[in-house]
Amino acid sequence: MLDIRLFWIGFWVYLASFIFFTAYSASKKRPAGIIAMGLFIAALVLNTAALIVRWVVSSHPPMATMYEYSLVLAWVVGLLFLYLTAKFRKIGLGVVISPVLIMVLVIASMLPKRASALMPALQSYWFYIHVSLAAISEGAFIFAAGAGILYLMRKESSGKASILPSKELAGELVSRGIRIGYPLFTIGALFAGAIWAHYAWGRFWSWDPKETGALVIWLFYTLVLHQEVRGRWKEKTLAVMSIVGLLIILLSFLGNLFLGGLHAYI
Amino acid sequence: MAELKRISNLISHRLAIGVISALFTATAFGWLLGEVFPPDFQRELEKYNADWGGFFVKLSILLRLYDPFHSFWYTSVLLLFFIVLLLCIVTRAKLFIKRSLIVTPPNDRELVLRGNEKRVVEWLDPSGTGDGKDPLVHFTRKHENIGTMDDESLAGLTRDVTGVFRGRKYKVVSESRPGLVLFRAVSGRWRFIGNLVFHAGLLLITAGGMIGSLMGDSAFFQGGRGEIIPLPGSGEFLRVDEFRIIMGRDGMVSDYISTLSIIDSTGAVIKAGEIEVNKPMKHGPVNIYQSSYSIGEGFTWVDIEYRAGGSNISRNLRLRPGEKALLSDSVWSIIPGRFFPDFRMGSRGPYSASATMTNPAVMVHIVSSADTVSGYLFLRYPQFNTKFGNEILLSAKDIEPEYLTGLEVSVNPGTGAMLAGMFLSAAGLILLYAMNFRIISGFLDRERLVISMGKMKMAVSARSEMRTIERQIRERVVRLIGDVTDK
Repeated sequence: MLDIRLFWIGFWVYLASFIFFTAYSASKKRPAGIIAMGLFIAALVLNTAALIVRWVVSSHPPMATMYEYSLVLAWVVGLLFLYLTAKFRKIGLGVVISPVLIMVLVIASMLPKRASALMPALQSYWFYIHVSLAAISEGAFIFAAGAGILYLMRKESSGKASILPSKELAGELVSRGIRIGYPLFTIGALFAGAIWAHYAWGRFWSWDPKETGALVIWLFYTLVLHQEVRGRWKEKTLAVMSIVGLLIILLSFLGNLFLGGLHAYI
Repeated sequence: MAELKRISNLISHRLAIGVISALFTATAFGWLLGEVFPPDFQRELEKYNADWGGFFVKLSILLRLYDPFHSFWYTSVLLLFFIVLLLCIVTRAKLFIKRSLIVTPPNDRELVLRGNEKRVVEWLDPSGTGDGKDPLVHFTRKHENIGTMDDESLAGLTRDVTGVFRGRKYKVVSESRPGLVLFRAVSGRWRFIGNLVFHAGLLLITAGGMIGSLMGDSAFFQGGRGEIIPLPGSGEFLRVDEFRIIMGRDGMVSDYISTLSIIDSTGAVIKAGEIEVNKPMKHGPVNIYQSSYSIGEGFTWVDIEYRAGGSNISRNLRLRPGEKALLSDSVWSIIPGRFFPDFRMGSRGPYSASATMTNPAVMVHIVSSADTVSGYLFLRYPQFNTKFGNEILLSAKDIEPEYLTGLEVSVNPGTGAMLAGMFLSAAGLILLYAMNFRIISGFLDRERLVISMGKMKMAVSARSEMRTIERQIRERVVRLIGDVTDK
């Protein structure tokens, strides 16, 4: 299976890029940073290739199983990283984003990888809207958590030039990640999912474990955004909350493995 | 009006956050509870009474811990959320609309000087490098005044400065006073309308959900061909004309389709059609969905392989339910009996443990003129087939089970509100998050221009925006002063 081979090669290349990012962070030697970035881009290309091959093999966009979803999630995080690195010119962000991405891929590596035809319930254009927006939004939340880890790791500006984004920029990336993720999650994961469920099963909402998990995630980020607007939660709390959000997302995501329900597409 | 203000004070941001927190906690609790609470609690009350004690069982029933999302405590939190959301919208609508539509200049210079990311452009050094032309000399020469910029020139500069903001999609309002122009530039004002629309949409969704759960009706029906069920709220009926499963090339179910008729009490067909997953049938307020399918304890045919009467030749038979066939080379006949998709032997005899083909087995009766012997043939585990002596060797080779269609028949008067709410909320969210809200206040007087930002989000981007604006303003001012100088 070419797609799985590509996944594994991509996985190891991501891992290698993480090692070089770490070396870059420790040594501050520019070649290490360039190699890390080069490896990361190569891994992202492999990740993209794995998704395309998977699409061809299964004859549907690769979003039907948890493995495929994880692959898309990693791809979104990778793309976001590349975009923001290009925008803010701080490749040191890879020191925290690459391990977060590898964590997603480790989960993917443990999931069944067999490609199969779409089951009847998934044969709807709502499927593509729902799952792709959910993946992009969760990717943004995961990115925010990575930036949150960075924020907590960073000391107040010492005046020395650093390869890592400033504490202020890390704080802004947390906020941006949540602000990109929230509307997409609301529209994609909740609304599109509910409308699809209405057409597929005759109910907008079934209190299925995955649905409830999505509602918990949404309420959590709603709370975070309200507290941010109100000015009660500043950067540090937001950084902590973005990590808590990641844990809730993981619980909801992995819940499929043992909770079952209507979304049990392992 | 006074009442509204009193309510507005009561519905604080803090209360809203409190209610969201309560809903989050209740949902998370219900989510986890739904997974850890024993699913057989309602069926096995006696057992849990003995294990947990009467008090905990009663408490569990009272709090409906086996179905937390339909409990009074969860419904109460949801209702509270609805009320607070409603009051938030009512009390803040005017303010949000005003913020979206009306921009006013700052009252005085002090407000600008107290802002964030303050930028100053001195007319004496418009490029900010210290080597610019001295406008004082030129303005003095032109206007023969005492060395300060006159109001006319100030107005010209204001046009250029505000032009920079307008070019960056800001709405600008200004107020001129002698020797002073105060202005405010705002971008992304529609986010306030977006905020309002988003919350109004959520309110509609919640209302639609409540209407649906209070006034809606929904029933799940499972049955085979020819079955008839009454439709809610009418004297009409739904008849299953056909149900078929379509298998994909990989052997998996690729689709399942029901052919349905809606008939009146006389049996006359009012409407007919096919439904499949994601393609429901609508009949007035009633929606009929292809929800699922299952395997019933019936079958269409079964293929049997046998050898009888000491013959070495294996023969095949295809039998329909209840059909009797003679086994060649013998005096015996065979009649297929019950079918079990997932055979289990219980204390009360055999039963099917699930509606899946996990352990399919068919009961057969071997009949002669003198005797009838019954046994079971297993499709997946033929080693457990009943032995009928040396005379007869039987095995089941294939079976076509009877598939039952699973239909969800529902009337939901809240559907319109739900869909409208989702549409509104989505539109509101797009406005809310696509709009980059920035508010910049400034003033120009005879010596300088000062601009500063209001409440700052995304400090890095805000700073970058201010840098760009400052650069563009300096370029314009330098150009303008150059023009004046040349005259």
